[in-house]
This record gives sequence, C-alpha cells and structure tokens, in this order.
Amino acid sequence: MSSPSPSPTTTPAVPVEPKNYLNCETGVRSWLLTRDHKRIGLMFLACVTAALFLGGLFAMLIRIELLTPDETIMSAQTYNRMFTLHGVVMIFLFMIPAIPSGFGNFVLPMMIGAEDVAFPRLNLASWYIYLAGAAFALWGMVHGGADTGWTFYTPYSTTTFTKVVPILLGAFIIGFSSIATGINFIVTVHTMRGPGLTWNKLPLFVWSIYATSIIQVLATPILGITVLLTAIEHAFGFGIFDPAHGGDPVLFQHMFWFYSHPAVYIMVLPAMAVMSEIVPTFARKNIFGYKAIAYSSVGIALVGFFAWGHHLFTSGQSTFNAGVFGVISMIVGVFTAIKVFNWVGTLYKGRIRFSTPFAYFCGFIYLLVFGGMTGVALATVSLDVHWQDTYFVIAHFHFIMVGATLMAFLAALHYWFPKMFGRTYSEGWGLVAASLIILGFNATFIPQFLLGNAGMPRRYWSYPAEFQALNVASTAGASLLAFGFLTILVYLTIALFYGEKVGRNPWGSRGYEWNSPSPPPKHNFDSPQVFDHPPHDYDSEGHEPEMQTEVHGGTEVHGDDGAKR
Amino acid sequence: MAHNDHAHTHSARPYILTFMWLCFCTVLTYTLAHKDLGAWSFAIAMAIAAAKGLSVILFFMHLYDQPGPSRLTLAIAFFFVLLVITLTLTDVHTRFPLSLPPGSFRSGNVVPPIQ
Amino acid sequence: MAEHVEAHEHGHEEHHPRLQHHFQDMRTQQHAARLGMWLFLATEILLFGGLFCAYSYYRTLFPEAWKECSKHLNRPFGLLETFDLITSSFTMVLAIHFTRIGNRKLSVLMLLATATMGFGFLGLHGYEYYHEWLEGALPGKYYHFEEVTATGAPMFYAVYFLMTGLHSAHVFIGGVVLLVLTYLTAKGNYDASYDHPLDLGGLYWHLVDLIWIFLFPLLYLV
Repeated sequence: MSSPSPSPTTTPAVPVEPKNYLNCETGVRSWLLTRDHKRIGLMFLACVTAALFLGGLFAMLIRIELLTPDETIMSAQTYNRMFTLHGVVMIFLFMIPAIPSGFGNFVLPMMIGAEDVAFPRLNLASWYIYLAGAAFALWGMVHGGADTGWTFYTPYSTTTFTKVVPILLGAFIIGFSSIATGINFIVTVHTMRGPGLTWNKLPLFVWSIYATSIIQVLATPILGITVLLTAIEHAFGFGIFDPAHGGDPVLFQHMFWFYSHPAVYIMVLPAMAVMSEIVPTFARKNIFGYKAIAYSSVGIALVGFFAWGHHLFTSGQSTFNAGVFGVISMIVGVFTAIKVFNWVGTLYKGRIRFSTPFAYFCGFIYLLVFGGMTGVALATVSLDVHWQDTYFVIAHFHFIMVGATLMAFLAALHYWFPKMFGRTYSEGWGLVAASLIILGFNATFIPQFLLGNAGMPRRYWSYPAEFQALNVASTAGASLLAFGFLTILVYLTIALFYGEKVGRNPWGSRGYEWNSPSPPPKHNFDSPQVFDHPPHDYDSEGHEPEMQTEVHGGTEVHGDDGAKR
Repeated sequence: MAHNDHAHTHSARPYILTFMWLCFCTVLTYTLAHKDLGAWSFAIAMAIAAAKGLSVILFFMHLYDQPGPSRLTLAIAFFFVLLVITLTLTDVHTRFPLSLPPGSFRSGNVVPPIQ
Repeated sequence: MAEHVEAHEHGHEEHHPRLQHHFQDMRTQQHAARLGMWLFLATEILLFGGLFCAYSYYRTLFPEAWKECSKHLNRPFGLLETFDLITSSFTMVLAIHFTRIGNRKLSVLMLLATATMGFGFLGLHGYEYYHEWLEGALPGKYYHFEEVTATGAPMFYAVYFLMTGLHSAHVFIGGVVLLVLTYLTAKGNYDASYDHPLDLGGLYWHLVDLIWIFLFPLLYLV
C-alpha cells in the first residue's frame, strides 16, 4: 500500500504537509519491517480484505451451484471443497483477525494514549505468522483442497484423501498469530494506559477487545492441540479419534468446540466493541450503562466457555450434558441483551446523525437480535434435534456471527477511514452501499431460515425440486451482497486518493483516538494526552466537538436542534 | 525500586529448601505408588503432584511476589484446564453406554476394523 | 512524552540503555515482559490441557489398560527423569540468582548444567522410546505388544507418546533457548540491573518441569 500523495486540487497553500505515519518512511522495506502498530494494522486490514473477497468468491460459486437441484457449474466433489474453503477462509483468515488485528491494532493503543503496543516486534511477527498460516492453507487449497467442512470432524477428516493436513496446519499456525495479538493487547491494556486513564475510564472498544484477547489466549491453544492431533491422526493413524482403535470422535468434537464456540465470541465481541464506539458518537449522547456494557463483555467471554456442548446435541453426547450446555448457552443471551438494551437506551432521545457507520449499526442490531433469538431457540435441545445440520443453523450463525462481524467491519472501516488516511469518502455512495449490503444480506439468509425449517440439510449438493424457489431467492440476495462489496471497494479506493481532506475529529467524537491529527504521526500524538473526561461523554457543557461538514454530506448539521439542547 | 532491593537481599536459601522439598515429594510419590492404596492412590498422587507444582510456581517461578495479573493468569489457565476435563468427563460418565467407543480390535474385542 | 516526564519526576531511574521508547520506565517494561510470558505460559498449559483432557477421557474408558500399560513403562527411568528435570529447574534459579549477585562465571556454569540436564532428559527418553519400539508398544494401528491385551492398550500408548512427545519437543526448544542464554550471559549481556531474557527463559524452563511433574505420576505411577 502506498501513501496517498497530496493531490494538487485539494491542497491549498499549505507549505509543508506534516509528517504522518504513512509518509514518514517510504518504500516496501519500511512497511515490511515496520513496528508501528498503525502500519501493522493496515497490513492486516489489507490481508483480511483479500481473504474476504476470496471467501466471498467461494460463497458466490456455492450459491450459483445451488441455483438448480442438480449440477449447475460444478461437480459434487468440487462443491464439497468449495464450502470447506469458504468456511476456512472466512473464519480463520477473515473473521477472527479482522477487527482485533486490523482495527484493534490501529486504534487500541491510541485509545489508551500509548505510543505503541507493548511488544511491537511480536506484533509484526503476528502478521508474518498469519501470512505463513495463510500460505499453508492456500497451498493445501490449490493442491486438492479439503472436503470435510471447516469443522474437520473425525473420522472423516482423518480418512479423506483430500489435502486436509496442510489446511489443518495452516489453522494451527494462524492460531499462534491470534494468540500473539491477544497477549499483546492484554499486556498493553495492563501496562500502557496513559496517566489518569483508569479501568473505568477505558473506552468500551478497549474493554471488548480486552475480553476478546482473553478468549484468544485461553481458547486457541486447545484448537492448536486438536488440529495437531487430527493432522497426526491423518498422517500416521495413532487412533486417538478413531473408533477402530478405541478412540472416540466425540472427544474431537468436545475439544474442537471448546475452542470454536468461544471463537464465535472472538468474532462477535469485537463487533460489539466497534458498535459501542459508534452508537454514542452518532447519537451525540452519553453511552447509557457504561459499566453494564463493559462488564457484560467479560461476562460473555467467561460464559462463552461453558456452552460448547450445544454443538453436540445430536452427536451421542449424554442427555445430562446436553441439558446443562443448553441452559448455559441461553445465559449468553442475557449478556448480549444487556448490551442491546444499553445501545438502544443510548439512542433514546439522542440527536441521531444518520451517517454510513450508523446505517451499519442499524443493520447490526437487527441481525444481532434476530440471530440471537434464533440462537436461544437452537439452544433448546428438543428444537435443535429438528434443526441440527439444516440451513436453519446456517442462517442463524450467518446472522449473528457473520452478519454482526461484517456490519461492524464495514462500520469500523467507514468510521475510522478518515483517521487512517486523513481523507473521507462520498457519504451518498456510502449509504447506497450500506443499503445494498443490508438488503442483500437479508435476502440471502431469510430464505435459508425457511429452507432449514422445511428440512433442507446443510452441505448438500442437490436438493428436491420444491426447494428451488427459495434457493434462487437466496442466490439473488447473494448477488446483491456481492454488488454492494464491489461498490465499497470502488468508492473507498477513489476516496483513498481523491477524497476530501478532514481534520482531527470529523465525526465530533469524544473518543480519545480522535485527539491526534488525521492521519496520526508516527508516535500517535503531537501533544501529551490528558484524560480529563470519561469516554463517550457528550453531556459536559462547553467543549463538545461537533460533527464536521465534510463527513456529513456537506450540509450543516449543528443547526437548530443542536442549539436548542 | 523493588528490583534493586532484590539484588541486595537476594538469597539462595528458599531455592535450596524448595529443591529439597521437591526431591522429598518425588521419593514419596514413587514409594506410595508401589503400595496398594486402592481408590485413594490417584487422589494422593495428584495431591503430591499439585504440591510439587505449586512450590515450583511459587518459589522457582517467583509467583509469590508477582503482581496480581500474573497470578490471575495462571489461576485462570488451571481453571480452564479443569473446566475442559470436567465437562468432558461428565459426558463420558452419563452417556448412553452403547455410544461409547468399544475399544481396540487388536486386543481381541468384538469390533471389526473399519475399512 | 508525558510518560517519560512522569518517570523522571518520580526519579526512579535515568534512561536505561535497554528501555524501549514506548515504555514509561524499566519497571513497567519488566512487568509487561513478565505478564506477557505468563500469558504465553497459560497458552502452553492449555495446549497440554487438551492432551490431559484426552488422557482423562480414555483413562475413564479403559482403566484396566491404564493400569497394565503403566506397569510396563520403565518406572526407575521415569524417577531418574523426574530428578533430572527438578535438578535442572534448581540450577536454573541458581543461574538467575548468581547473575543478580554479580557472579557471571557461576551463572554460566549453572546455565550449562541446566541445558545439559535438558538434553540428558531427551537422551533418557529416547532410550525409553527405543525400547517401546522394540517391544511393539506403539500407538494405534502400530500396536503389537504381546504382554498387554487389555482393551484400549493402544490408546494408552497413543496418549503416552503424544504427551511425552509434545513435552520432549518443549524440552528441546527450552534446551536451545538455554544454550543461547548461556552464550549471551557469557558475553556479559545481563547483570543485576537487567536480566529480563534470563528471567523469561527461566520461566519457560520451569513450566517444562511443571508439566513433567504431572506427567510422571499420571503415566508411570497409575
């Protein structure tokens, strides 16, 4: 990625542009060997975006194949590989690192007034480990792929002839990247907070990312050992998960979901983190229930570890365990609801500015609530027996996990874009793309809820003809979604080079990261930071920053309603 | 500065005592393993191992004078190991017996090898 | 920056040459390094935790096999290995102790002793593996040990080889780290005011010891 050069049309007679993190050093070397958390964040963002488009491509191919009940564009074997690759790429290469390693890296140190993360070299190493894992996985995909689904259930994954070993090792390696980032953030939050920034003054983004990091550190090693055992089993046949030698595939599922269920919260907690920043900024109002939101993040992180067994309701797990896990799973809903109520409470009587990030918040809260409620339904054992492994489950987790993460990713991208590059995008196009994405997402997955409830199983290549109408509807929605992403790609690329320049704080946010120039200088701030106000504080009189015109469609927004208050 | 105080008052005595305690525990657990203690043998072996582990953690790894977060980290790690073991074992103990793996065909069990 | 100003005001110390720019003072830097290491050790504990889970799972299913197979492991060797690792942990703390009181020569000697015992452990265990290989006491489909026919015996050996194998890999990595630390200590990189890498290397080594303390009764003394 090159630094955006100042274009002659938008630069007035400013003699010298101050040096920022993008142009203080130039050349490929200065990027590849950087220890600057902002550059590492951007490099992660570039990679996860590439992964998003790759995974999206697989998704489109799956949807096109499912247009007709029989073969449309690919054979059944190719189809099996396609949905596996879609899952692996989207989960390990996009959703897990997207917000923590990308946006978290960029803004978390700035939010606590630090110059960098605690271990900058480990941070860079994390990016290289991610690349190495991705290379392993991609090599496996090119040379045969895997057809097990991203869950790698044994005994099939240990007996299939496809290339599961490199993909498993890829997941193993990427796990270390995740752990490195998690350790880095936990230590950063503990040791590098600016003077006066106590735990109860931390921005909610930091709280949520902190909770995410705890899960990353505690859960990922179990995935590491599980995929390692599976790879060993596939390569040498030690029998640890093989019933023929006394092994139990259910043990694999226990260990796999001990990581992979909390991993859902590795994906969705950062999404909640982003939204907790966006809601007060665009409602122009204090966050409602700061402590409730902060502590519920840690609550989700903790309770998320006690819920893994709800993936095993039909796997031969004991009914006692199923009951216990079912009940605990529902408790996660309580913590999530606490957050939802508090966000809505923040909006109440706010002076809402309907900008692009806020549009994504609307999509997010809708997907979270409906995805969450279907989740509570699925946690009911007797209902799950009907829905297990149908498209109902697919639609459920795409709503709550993918939808929430995607909305937050895009919201964060639009919200922090001015901070990252010092330029802004076209608000009109932003809203058009947001509508396309939200509409497309619903059009894709609402039919899948219906399909699943009618009994269409997941991962099947063909289906009875009466399911075709809903499948076509779903594919049509997916095309809308793809079109929305391409729109975003185009206008953000244009904005990167030709967007209007912005000042320090275009959104008029009270977040600490906006105190630095846009784009920030190498060591983040040009003056010592003072944390004299709580985060998300819009009530104190006098020094409240207002939203700037360049990010709000060029219209004055602090008109009558602002004065009346 | 705590660090420099360390250097002045640094004594090897706690290390020597810990080492002797560890050796004693090792011999003890080895001796007890050769006696038939029935159901208690496992609990005793684990208790001794925990005592040894705790002294390594507290004195060799200096956790006794570390700040809170480090202690919490280790405590949580052990808690989660116990969590994954406990909730998996309740499954084995309460499961419908026929859904448990039958064992190895090599040892003359009834299950034929799966092709 | 504000943090630096504050550090000077408190007069804790002047800029130590090892102080990285983004930390307030040496104390914070060491606290951060230690906390980072403890978090890493937590991930290691959980990595082994997965195997301990598999161990308890199959021990519950096949208690007879566990009893019989454990008897066929070389108990005196296990005892020797335990003493080896405990002693190496002891020499490790002594190495740090000698660095802190400024005796570099003894510190290097102790580190060398620790590394030697580490690799000695690998030798001892390699010998055990060799014997099990000869007997055919191997995991899964390779199992052809005639003496134990209890149900689930191959599973015991699968768990045994995976646990000790992963542990031995850690011993090997720890040994290499110790050799590097020996070299750096001999070069004079560490003294009473700065010994963080030694400290962290020591923590890792003690963890390896800690895991073995649990593996020994679980595998050899069932």
